[in-house]
Amino acid sequence: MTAPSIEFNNVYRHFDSNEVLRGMSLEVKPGEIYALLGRNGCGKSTAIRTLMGFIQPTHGVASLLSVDSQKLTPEHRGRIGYVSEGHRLYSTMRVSDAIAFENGTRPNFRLDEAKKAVARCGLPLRSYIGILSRGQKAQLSLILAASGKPEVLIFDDPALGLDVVMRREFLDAMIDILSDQGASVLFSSHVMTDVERIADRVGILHNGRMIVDATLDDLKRRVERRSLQGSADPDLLRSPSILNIRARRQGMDITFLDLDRETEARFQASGNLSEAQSLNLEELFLDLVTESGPSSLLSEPVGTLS
Amino acid sequence: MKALIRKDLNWLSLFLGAGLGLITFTLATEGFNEQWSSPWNRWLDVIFPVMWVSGLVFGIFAALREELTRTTEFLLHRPVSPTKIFLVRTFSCLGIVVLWQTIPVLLHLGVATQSDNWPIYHPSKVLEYFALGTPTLCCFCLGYFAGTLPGNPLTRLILGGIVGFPICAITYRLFLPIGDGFESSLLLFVGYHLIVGAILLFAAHGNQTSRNDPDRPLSVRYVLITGGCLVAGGMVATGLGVAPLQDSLQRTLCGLYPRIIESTQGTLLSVTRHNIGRIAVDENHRPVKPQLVIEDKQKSTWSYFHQDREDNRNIRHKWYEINHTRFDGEWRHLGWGSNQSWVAYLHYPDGLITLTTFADRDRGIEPASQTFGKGKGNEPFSAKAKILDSSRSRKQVLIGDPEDGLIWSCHFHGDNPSLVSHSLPDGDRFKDWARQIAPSRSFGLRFWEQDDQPDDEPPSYGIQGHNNLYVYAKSKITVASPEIKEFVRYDREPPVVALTTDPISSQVELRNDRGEVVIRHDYALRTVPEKIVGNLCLLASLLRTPLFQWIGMYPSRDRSNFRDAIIFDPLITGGKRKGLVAGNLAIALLLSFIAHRRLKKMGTDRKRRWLWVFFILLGGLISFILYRFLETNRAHRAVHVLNPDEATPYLIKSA
Repeated sequence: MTAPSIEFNNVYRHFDSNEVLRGMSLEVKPGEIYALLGRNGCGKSTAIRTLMGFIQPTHGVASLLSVDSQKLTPEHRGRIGYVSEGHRLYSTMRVSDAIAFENGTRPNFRLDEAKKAVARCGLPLRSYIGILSRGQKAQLSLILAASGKPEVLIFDDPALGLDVVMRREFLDAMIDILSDQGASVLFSSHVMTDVERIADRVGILHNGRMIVDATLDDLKRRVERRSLQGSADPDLLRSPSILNIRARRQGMDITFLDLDRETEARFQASGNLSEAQSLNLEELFLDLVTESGPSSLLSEPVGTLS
Repeated sequence: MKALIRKDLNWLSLFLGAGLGLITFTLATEGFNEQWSSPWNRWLDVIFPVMWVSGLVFGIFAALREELTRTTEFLLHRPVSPTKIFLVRTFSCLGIVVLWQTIPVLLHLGVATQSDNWPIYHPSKVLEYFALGTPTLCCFCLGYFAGTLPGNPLTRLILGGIVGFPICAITYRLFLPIGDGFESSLLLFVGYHLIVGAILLFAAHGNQTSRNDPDRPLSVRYVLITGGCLVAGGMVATGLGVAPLQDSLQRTLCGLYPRIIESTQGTLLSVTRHNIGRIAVDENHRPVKPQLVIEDKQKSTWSYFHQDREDNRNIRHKWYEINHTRFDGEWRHLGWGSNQSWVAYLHYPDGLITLTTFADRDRGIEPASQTFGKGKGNEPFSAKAKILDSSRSRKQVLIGDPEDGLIWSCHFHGDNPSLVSHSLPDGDRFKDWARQIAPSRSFGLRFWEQDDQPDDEPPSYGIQGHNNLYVYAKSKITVASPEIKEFVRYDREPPVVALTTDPISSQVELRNDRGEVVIRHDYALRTVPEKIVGNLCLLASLLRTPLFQWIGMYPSRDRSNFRDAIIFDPLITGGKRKGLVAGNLAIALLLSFIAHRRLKKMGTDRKRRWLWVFFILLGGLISFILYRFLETNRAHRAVHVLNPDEATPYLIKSA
């Protein structure tokens, strides 16, 4: 069995008394594209910064290329590409200078490919980075990160602040660049449509805890929504198969996970249960993280501070 | 490495240009020629402070560059070690600092050689110029160190200041003539700054690579290096803070203590009472009964404590003086003309005066230098020649030579500089200068400190001959009046003799002209105000660092004032007041016990606990404050976690 490229093992991180990550665990296999989802402030950036070794976990280990991220050597870092939130680059550099800088500090940097990618995206080489649009900065960041021939790519909300068109262009560029690399990718996002287009596997962070860690296919297969006309037995509504219930005018919409025949029959007996409707990722995400969702049942802290 | 340098080139160039512009402008404003030839240059007043502050700002910016532009992670995520990033940055910045100092000189030389307007360089001045530049390197390192400290900007400022303050103070102290000669002084000065700079950079490297995280304890290595730097700085800073406090308390106490006064009633102890004048007090400092008021305020009074004190000179004055004595031991400044049109100094080894006249373009006069001596034969002055130090008042320049017994007044104005000799009346010979005297409209004839002499009064000077005392005024020498003789006698030979010396208690006696003791008094804390102020002064000793208190007990040298008491406490030198040292040590023990107990409670390792105990025993209160700054509750907060299986109750999990 091949070792995971990225691994979180029961990682905790707190800022003062605020617990941001609470026992986070996940694995990204080689070549896998993993999307880390969550609401603002749920701990996505903290997880990624911990993984990159910029901050230390309070407890647990985050590993990159099977190395504790706190012990990454320059050699390891040469195999990792990273795009920070907000695409932080030196704004006083020109695009060409930024490419030269990467080329000078990354032994595996493919200068020709970077120049080609820049030309393909229409980025002016002589322009200062400070005057580029957000979309152009995002594209440049991606090109710089991907041209180092990384085995692992980590993006912290790369589409943040981009409009729909820019986001689409950025995503196309990302798919284009990554299509032939075979790199493992971990990216955080809260734009579900993007995730559905490129991710193999999805993790949802909520209040610092992973509540979902599954492949997209698996999610679509196992989660379904049905409408129930009429009322149901309160005991039946406490079934472990139910992820979310939303009241409707004459009945309710119920989101099920792994609905078995027996439970389905009991619901049919209490009212008219509609046919299964498939959920898109956004709907599933909303069902999981909104107040009426099951995550509220898990709001008890896992770790406690003393 | 090239890429790392190229990345920083834009802001490095900006700092190079700005620094060069500022320094060249300052040098040009102050006058290039004057800076190289006059011993009384303004390097320490303007030029070098500008460079030092520039170095400090540069260091802070260099440390915070990525933090300000929020590009720290962009820089650090690449395959380059943080040490390499640190080294490339610091060495390129240090290169800029060196260029700041070198390029203006080269530019000046280039311009001068082209225009035939040769500056008159003295080799010692060139060495001094580059030596005085080393604090700029040190200031850069200090700025870099402060910028990399943990915490918010205010915390960094406070911590940086704790280290920076003593560095600046020691820099200032090093101008005092410690070394035996010019070269050794220079070496000491440069060596100190290079060593301190290197230590600060080493600590800054530790700060920068340790990724200071407010929620994680600092590493023991970090505590050892950065904590050690801060504790060392803090220990000196404590002395710098406590010494003036004790000094001001001692001054207050001296004001409270009675003074010895000669009055018609005889020699008495007296204290001043507002609106009454002086009142006589007994040996217990209580007013004698019936009350005796001494109304004559002009009578001479003496106090051992007051006579022992140095002149209260401000720092600027002192630096000026120190610059002169430290780096120009062979060249004694005589004076300069208005607008610095000329400068003259006496070269002691050959005894000749060198007069440098600067360019006066309106009159077509180029800079020139000429040497001359006494009389037509240009005879040199003897090594015992004494200059009346009137340079700051820029009035008359007088040199007294005990060898020929004459006074020489210098006339450097106009095209024919000359020396005019004056002999003392009755065939007497010059021995030394008495203090400068001048009439005062308010108080009649009185003595002035040279700096205080009013500009609108004609200057007059006291001359001590072998047989008599004289006054030089309006180019004439006359025998001094008995009143002046009286002042000079007391001024030069204090009649109050201290039998024991101590900052707050002392036994003194006053002798008359025949050497008989007319009054003896034991100054001690007797009245309530004296006890309050005196005990506060003693309590301030408890704030000092235990290590220095302990060492300070042993030197037998008796220190009676706090002016030089930055390191050692004059209250305990020579084994006095052992209780104070014990109290100081007891406080340090208590604080180290508190620190140890807290760290143990927080579950920290033994090394860290004992390291802080050691630091607190060395530095006392200041180390304890630094310990609280660095070992925060937040960093040591314990976290209890469940095991992974229990801690992650996924709602949806697939293989």
